[in-house]
Amino acid sequence: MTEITLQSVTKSWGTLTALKPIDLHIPHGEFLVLLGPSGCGKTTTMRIIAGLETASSGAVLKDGADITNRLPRERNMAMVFQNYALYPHMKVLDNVAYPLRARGMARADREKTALAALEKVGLAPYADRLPKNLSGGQRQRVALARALVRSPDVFLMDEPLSNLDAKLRGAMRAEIKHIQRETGITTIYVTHDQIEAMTLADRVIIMEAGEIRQIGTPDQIYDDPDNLFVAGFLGSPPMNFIPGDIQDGAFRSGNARIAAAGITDAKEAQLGIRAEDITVVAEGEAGDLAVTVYSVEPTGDATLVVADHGKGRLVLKADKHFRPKIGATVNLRLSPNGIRYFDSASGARLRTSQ
Amino acid sequence: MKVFTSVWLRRLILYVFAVWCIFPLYWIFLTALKTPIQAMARPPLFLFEPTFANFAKVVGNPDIWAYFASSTIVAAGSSLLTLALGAPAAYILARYSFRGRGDFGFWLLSSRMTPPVAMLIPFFVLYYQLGLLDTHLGLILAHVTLNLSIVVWLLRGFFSELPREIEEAASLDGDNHFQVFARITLPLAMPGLISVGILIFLLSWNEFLFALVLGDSAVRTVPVGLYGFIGYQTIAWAELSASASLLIIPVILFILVFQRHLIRGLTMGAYR
Repeated sequence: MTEITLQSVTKSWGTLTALKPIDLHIPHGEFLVLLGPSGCGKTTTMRIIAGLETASSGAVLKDGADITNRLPRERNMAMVFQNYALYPHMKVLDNVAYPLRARGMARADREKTALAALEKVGLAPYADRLPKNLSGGQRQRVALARALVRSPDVFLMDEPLSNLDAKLRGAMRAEIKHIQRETGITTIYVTHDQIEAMTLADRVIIMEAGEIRQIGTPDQIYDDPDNLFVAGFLGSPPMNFIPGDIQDGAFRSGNARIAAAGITDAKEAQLGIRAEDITVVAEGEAGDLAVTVYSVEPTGDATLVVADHGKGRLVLKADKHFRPKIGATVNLRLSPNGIRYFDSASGARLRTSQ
Repeated sequence: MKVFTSVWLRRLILYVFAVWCIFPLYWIFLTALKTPIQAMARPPLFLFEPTFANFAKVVGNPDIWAYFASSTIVAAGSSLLTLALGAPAAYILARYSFRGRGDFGFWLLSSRMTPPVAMLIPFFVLYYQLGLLDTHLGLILAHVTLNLSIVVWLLRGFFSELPREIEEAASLDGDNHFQVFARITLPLAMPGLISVGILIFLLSWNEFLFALVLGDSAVRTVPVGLYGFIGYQTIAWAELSASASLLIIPVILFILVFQRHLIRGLTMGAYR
């Protein structure tokens, strides 16, 4: 049983602030993903948990005990690095057995245990090779085996898949998730790839500029974003935004008027809606919004239509047989359940006041 | 056509440079094969009947072997000791940040900026008091002092170019600071250690001033020993050349054997 708690952890280098106070609780067995653009502080947060970086202030607790100033070796956490960080001068077997050596296990025992871990990732036949004679995917699996071999309290993974090609990434993703479920070890995973975050996580933390923007399950952060940043960061294509204002329970943008019942008036607001919540109405019927088709992108299972709404462009997901002419005017209906409002200035979500 | 001429121009420059470098060696070896009279001839002789008498005389002279032994002990001892002291220091300077790190690094480097002659008299007085004059240990310590800063500065570069993640992985895997250094960093820095070691070995092997002043009859290194052939009135050219030829051979062999390491080490991280 291992839970991790961060209590107002900050990090700064001189005048550069990398982390504003971060508070966080990670319960036992959770797969937590830290997601955000580069430089948002997600890797720093993980390195502070690992002990590779010291927090400028605040405390890191493991099962209630303060480990803020403990050395990495005293934390029993295993880490998988983006560029694998295998020991290049050691055979694969010795790489995997290395954590056991530091724990004083006898050579025969640790080789047996290491071989079992290699078997788990399907690399037992490669035990005698040097890391440089393995492919990228194999190297990352060795790194995984090295992390697994000593049953750590916490798994830390720093963009472990970003050096692999797309196909391998999908396979490794499944493998990581399977291993985590099987072992039930608390896992913290850093990535900038939202697909990885959505598919792997029990909970996702979205960070930007050293701050947590939202914490929630993948569904929560996708369906119910707290702010413009989260809404625009997730989804492929990301959420569409239409600028306008809100007055007397209606959102106005150009000629369009869309119900915004219960939302406080705002001079400058954004209507956010995802591509799949926009439908094209039949010709001759009235819609919520008239747009001009800018580009048509068939993706196989659907057609992405990029269209101009007068104050910018939006992307909608239409039937895969839908092929409008470029320049044609199309009427759109915005599904009321899919509409989210945000304040333009603060980026905060405008929710129905109840 | 343009490529062709530029290739040949480069070759020409390299040929000229090669002749420039090799000619002194050639001349020493040639002189070693002459009789003392031939060695003095003006204009110099290029064609003559070679004699091995000089070599025979030198090989039969136990002093030459003593010079060789002294040089080997001092150069090997000082390069090993310099590495043993310099590598941990360089690692700390490369990897850990602490108060005054920059100042400390500069202070080390500045010890190299001092003209060695300026340190000679203090060394002599100190060694006289400590009884270190004319001992191998004394000369080894002097050479360590002279070369430590170079080792620290070169190795600091090697260490800081090693990927940090590998060391971090080891520290998470349960190693303490010293184990990380000994089991991970040192093996990875081996090419750097070897090339710096060779460099220090050669610097010590060729060092003359300190070896002359701090050594005497018990400890006389090769450069000092060869200097003995240059007398007050005459220079024993033939014998000098024969000894020099023989004593250069180990150095040349040493470089040939480790050449690859030397080049790899000194250009490590320069391109990647």
